[in-house]
Amino acid sequence: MKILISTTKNMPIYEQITNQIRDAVINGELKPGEGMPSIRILAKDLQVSVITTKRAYEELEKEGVIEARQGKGFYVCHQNNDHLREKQIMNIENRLLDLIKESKNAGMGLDDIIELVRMLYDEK
Amino acid sequence: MLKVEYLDKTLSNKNNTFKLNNISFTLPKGYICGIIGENGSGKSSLIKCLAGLYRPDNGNIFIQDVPFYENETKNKNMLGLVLDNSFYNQNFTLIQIGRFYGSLYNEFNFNQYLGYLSLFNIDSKIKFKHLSKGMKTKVQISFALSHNAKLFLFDEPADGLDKNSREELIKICTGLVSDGEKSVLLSSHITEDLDRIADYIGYMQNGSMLFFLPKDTLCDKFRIIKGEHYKCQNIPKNKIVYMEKCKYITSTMVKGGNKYSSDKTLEVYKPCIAEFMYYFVKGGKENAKNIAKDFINVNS
Amino acid sequence: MPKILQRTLLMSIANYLFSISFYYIAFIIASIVSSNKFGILENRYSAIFFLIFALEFYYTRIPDYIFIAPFSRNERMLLQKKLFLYNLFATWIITSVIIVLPDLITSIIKNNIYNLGKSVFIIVVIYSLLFVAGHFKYFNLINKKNYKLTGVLTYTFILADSSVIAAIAIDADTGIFTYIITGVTGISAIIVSLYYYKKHFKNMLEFYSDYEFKIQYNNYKLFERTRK
Repeated sequence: MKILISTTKNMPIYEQITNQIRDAVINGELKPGEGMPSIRILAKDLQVSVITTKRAYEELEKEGVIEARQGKGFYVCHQNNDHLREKQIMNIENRLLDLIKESKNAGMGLDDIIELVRMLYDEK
Repeated sequence: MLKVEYLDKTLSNKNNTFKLNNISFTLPKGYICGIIGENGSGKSSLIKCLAGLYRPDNGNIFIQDVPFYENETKNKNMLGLVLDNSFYNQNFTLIQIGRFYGSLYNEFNFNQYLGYLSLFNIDSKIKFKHLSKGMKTKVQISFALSHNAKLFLFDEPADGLDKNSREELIKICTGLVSDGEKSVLLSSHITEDLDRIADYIGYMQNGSMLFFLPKDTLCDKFRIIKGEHYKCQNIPKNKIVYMEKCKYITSTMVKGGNKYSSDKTLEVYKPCIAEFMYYFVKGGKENAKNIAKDFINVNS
Repeated sequence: MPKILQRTLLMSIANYLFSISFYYIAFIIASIVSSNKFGILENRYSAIFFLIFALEFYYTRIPDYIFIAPFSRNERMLLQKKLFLYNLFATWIITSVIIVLPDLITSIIKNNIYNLGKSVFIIVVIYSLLFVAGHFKYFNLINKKNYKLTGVLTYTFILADSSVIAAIAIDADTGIFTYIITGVTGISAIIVSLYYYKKHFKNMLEFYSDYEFKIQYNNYKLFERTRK
């Protein structure tokens, strides 16, 4: 699992952690039932504060990505991925909104954007 | 871990007096706390009080629920200190510092001390007075880490350190609290570092601590709004902490998490500590005091 | 006693020896320049010299680091007391050897016991003066903290003056007057230093083991104020 923290972004650190762990679960990098690193170990490895990591785990728990087992730490839940998928799509939607806003400022129409996206997608 | 209750201390020298006023906070075990504030706001004096150099006029300091002056020897053994002026004999070499001062502590580990020195790339045969300011701080950090302290009080540890060493310091701090037994209290004006590692933030102003909160809780309470000036003017005045008007953009820090403008073209985000402090200080002292009293410390 | 204090003590003694060697260089030069009236000068100089010297070197303080090292205030006081008393003892021995021994040898060679008594007297008075001088500095410092300065200073000056007079009297050998002035000076010196010890010594230790006192008067020199 890869977690990259950037302090230059405007996004709070706990959100960065939450997003990347969620992505890892959807991609299958983290298997259901797999144990998560403890809060303090993760905080140490990422070199961020403990409360931030705790908060990230709490958010993930609320979303149902991971669950806390009494005295054993956190585990990845067995779950249907639809819910997570939704969340992921919502993230993409938000980013697209930003892009569309920027494109509008640049004077691009809907067709131009779709054309551009198609071109870039094919290249990859 | 560390509990301070109603601490008062008046410091006076020939020309002026300074007062630490009614300071109370609790730092739990296993967390990092950053003390921020302008120069002369009493950060160093507070740390000196906690280190037992200044004896408080009123109030109590508890370290692991033991009053500080009830068992001073034991409590001081648990403190790892980095202070603004080091107390070492300037003519000692670093090896001598380890030998002479290390023997005063119960659990000093000389090899660990040398290990930290080599981690910071400092030759242990140099005399202390020949070191630069940043290196002196590194020696103090090395020493503080080597006697199995439980509570670390760092006064401006990042001061004079280069970028690499600051990264090293961040790594050390997060490593210290990872076992959940040790706590770190540090004052720093390099707020980017605090943004990353601090769990709690204490804000000092004129010798009073205006608030002491978890960092994320604090940042959640504010938003920064950036955009054209005429759009920002719609924000209710009583919610604004400080509005800075530049030619091309106006940026405002507002109280509360809700948006005050439905305009989607405005950029709205949570402030980091550096930004928070900038706007908070710019907003004026009286304003800061009121905001802390009426808004930050309410229902927290 | 921690190693760091032992080192402080050794440094203080080394300082003492170093300064006393200067004193003896001055002594030799003076004896070459004027051999005749030298005895009077010697006593006078030694009294003044030791007084000034005491102000700078006598009160060896605990090293700075002790303030943040794991010691309680009482332990710091104890360390300061030990340091102080060991230092007193060491300087006492050094002074005795350097001043009494030459006199003892000359007295035995010349078969003049009277001279030996004079040396012992000087030691007693000088030591009382050292002790009192140290307190003098202490009182001067705490006076800034609005403590009441009692008549002790007047006492000290009278003692210093009378010891010089006594030394002159011994040299001039004025008969009964010599014995009276010597006895009175010697005994009052002892009484005054005992009085100081009993009344203010603990107070002073408390003061010296306090960091706030230390930073407030860190670079404070005794004669700084009078010069202004």
